Amino acid sequence: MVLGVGLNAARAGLQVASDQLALVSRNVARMGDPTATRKVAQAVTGAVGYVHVSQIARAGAPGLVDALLAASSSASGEQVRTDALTRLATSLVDPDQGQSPSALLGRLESALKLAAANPTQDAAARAAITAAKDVSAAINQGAAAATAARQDADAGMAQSVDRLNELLSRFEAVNREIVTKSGSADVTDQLDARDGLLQDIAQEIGIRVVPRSHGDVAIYTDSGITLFETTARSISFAPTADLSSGQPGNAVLIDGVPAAGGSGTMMVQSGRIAAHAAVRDDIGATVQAQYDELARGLVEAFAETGPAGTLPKMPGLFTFPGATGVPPQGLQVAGLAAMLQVSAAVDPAQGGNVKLLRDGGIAGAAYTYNVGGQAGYSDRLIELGDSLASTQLFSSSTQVATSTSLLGLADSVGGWLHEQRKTASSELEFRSTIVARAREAMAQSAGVNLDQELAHMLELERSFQANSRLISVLDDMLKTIIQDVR
Amino acid sequence: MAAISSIGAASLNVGASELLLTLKADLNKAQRELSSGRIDDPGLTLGYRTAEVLRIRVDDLRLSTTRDANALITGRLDVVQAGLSDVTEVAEGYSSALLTARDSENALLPVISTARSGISALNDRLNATHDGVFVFAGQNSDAPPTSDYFAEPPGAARQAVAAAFVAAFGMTQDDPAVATIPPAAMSAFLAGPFADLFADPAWGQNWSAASDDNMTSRISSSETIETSASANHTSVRKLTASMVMVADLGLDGMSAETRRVVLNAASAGASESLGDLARLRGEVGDRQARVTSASSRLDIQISFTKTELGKLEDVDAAEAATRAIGLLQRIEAAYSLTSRIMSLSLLNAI
Repeated sequence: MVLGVGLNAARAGLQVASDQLALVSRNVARMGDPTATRKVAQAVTGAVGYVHVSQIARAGAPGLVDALLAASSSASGEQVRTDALTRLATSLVDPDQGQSPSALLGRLESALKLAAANPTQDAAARAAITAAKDVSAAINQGAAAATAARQDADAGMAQSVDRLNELLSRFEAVNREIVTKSGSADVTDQLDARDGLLQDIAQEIGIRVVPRSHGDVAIYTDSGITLFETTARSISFAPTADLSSGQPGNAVLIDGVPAAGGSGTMMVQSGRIAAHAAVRDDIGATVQAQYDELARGLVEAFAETGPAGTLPKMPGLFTFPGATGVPPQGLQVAGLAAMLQVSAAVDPAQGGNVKLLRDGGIAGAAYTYNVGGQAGYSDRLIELGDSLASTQLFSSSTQVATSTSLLGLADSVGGWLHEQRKTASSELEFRSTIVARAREAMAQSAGVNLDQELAHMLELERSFQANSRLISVLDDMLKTIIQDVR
Repeated sequence: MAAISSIGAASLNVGASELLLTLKADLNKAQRELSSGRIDDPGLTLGYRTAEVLRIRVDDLRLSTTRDANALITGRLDVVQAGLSDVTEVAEGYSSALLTARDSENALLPVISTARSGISALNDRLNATHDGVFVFAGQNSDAPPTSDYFAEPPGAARQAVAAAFVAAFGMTQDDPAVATIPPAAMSAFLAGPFADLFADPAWGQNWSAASDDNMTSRISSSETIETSASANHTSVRKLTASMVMVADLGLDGMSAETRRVVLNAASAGASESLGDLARLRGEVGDRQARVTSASSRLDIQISFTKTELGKLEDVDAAEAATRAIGLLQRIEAAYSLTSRIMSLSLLNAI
């Protein structure tokens, strides 16, 4: 019965058109979602000649996803690094504000030189003591800021790990659904969700995604540690309460393998976790070392050896609690920056004698340089004024020149931090551009475009109309036949 | 924006707003640079060269401080020089009074009073201060170097002179028997016990609290000079000795021959002192000149550091303005393009 076949074909056509229209509205509804891909219904003609929707596919090129994942790992890592460096740099060595160690040391030097020009009166010496206290306060604050940066980074690692564990467990659920339903049902929305989760995971940690059979995927870190394979691997991290200078933090472990923050052969290269670890163990620890060395340099520069230079070297203007001598040059004393202080013996605010700055003897009466006790004695003050610019040996853990003056160290420390910041910031700009381009490329190949969907809708409308028309024509024909028969 | 036909709507919106944000951030930066005349966020722009900025700023501060300190030192040396000039004037007045007195009996009392007032004037000049510093006290700069010779009760200096006189002649200076002192005895006294009073250690014990070594100061990165003088200088000792001879040895009671011995010795001392004073003034003048030249060198260095800093930090105003205008145009273009693209929708046609 040919007319009946025609009716069935037209009904199948209507079915396909309405299925496709439903797809159009799904596409349009998810238009604002950046992870949404365009769904395409693949209509095929079946064995009996009827058309039907065989499967729903996603538009897009898989290679673009990998590029986006890599770029967003790097970009989010650089963002973490840039933020941390900017906070450090602006709080420590903003060249504009005159509160950098360099500027404060410069002011101390000037105050000492003015005091040397008029050693008789206390006023200039008092000003020098005030400048010295500013310096020691700035060094203390610098140490605190570096410790805070490390502490923040440690907390950032903990947050990243929590988020990563949560994302991976969600990933596991979506992935299982895809694997079980794959081939039997439309899993395109789950695939979108899984891609979205991958992008979120990539921001926390650099990953490599390997597709497997039945739509399954495995995730490895960019250093090769398995992060997900059928099940999510557990990631653990224990935050550290005290990260002051010299205190190491814990490593992030994936299945017991160190992946970030610490030493190992499988350290993750990119993503937030790696960047936080770098801020905590590299940048933060270096800034701590720099401030410890500034503090040690100050103790060294102002140390006293007595009028003949033969007494054991003892801390003078700058000292630290429990000092039994001056720490050797070139070796970082962890935590010294936090302890640096102006000696109470010379600080009028602590009941000290301000004249000791001119006369020496802060370390004890035997160390008095001004043997005659003369009010016009300026040799020691001149010596102190020069000491900031005389060469010392500094530890290589400062990452800057090791043989330089205290002022030179302060300048290099500022330059180092801003250089790190500049590098991170331009790297961030570059990576963000790549992310933006990758997103754009994805959107261009896989994104939903309203015009395209509308045009498709018009087309489907026509097809629907044609099929409806066909049915009504067939109906007329059937009616005619039935009337003729009657 | 070329591939509008196939671009995803989500990315189109994000792309346009991100572009606008970037442009606006750049415009803000250009505006800040225009108003401050310096690059915005020098640390971020200069990177490791921030160290140079920091160094130059410290250098600049050091140079200006040294210049300020030099102003103080110049002031002190000026006070020293003025004091020495006054002392010279006193010495010259006294010296010419002595010459008159040797020739004329009538000039005796005037020269004694000139000597007495000269001693007071010398005391006054030597106790000159600058900014709390006794400039003739050497390094012992917080104590007046000399005290009033004619104070009541008599100070250590006057007592020492009286004691030496009694020890030598067995009488006080105002004893009428002073007329009996022979010239030779007076001559021996002046060269011996009296001269010893003005040599160390008696001078330091009785006359002067000053120290021999002067205050020293840095006037440039490497030059250190003496920036005060000492009341222990030979010119002061000789002048004091000469004036005390005339004023406080009972000159008016002496025989004419003895008096001549004293006047001759006083005259010799005064003229030696004048020579020494001239040398000292020359030395101080040299130091003044060195401070002045150090300061003018500092001025040149300061202007150089300013130029150096400017090279690193300053913004070319014309360039920043052009950049700002260009950015404004791009933002306007982006606005109108975005609104055009957003209105291009098939939705409006069906």
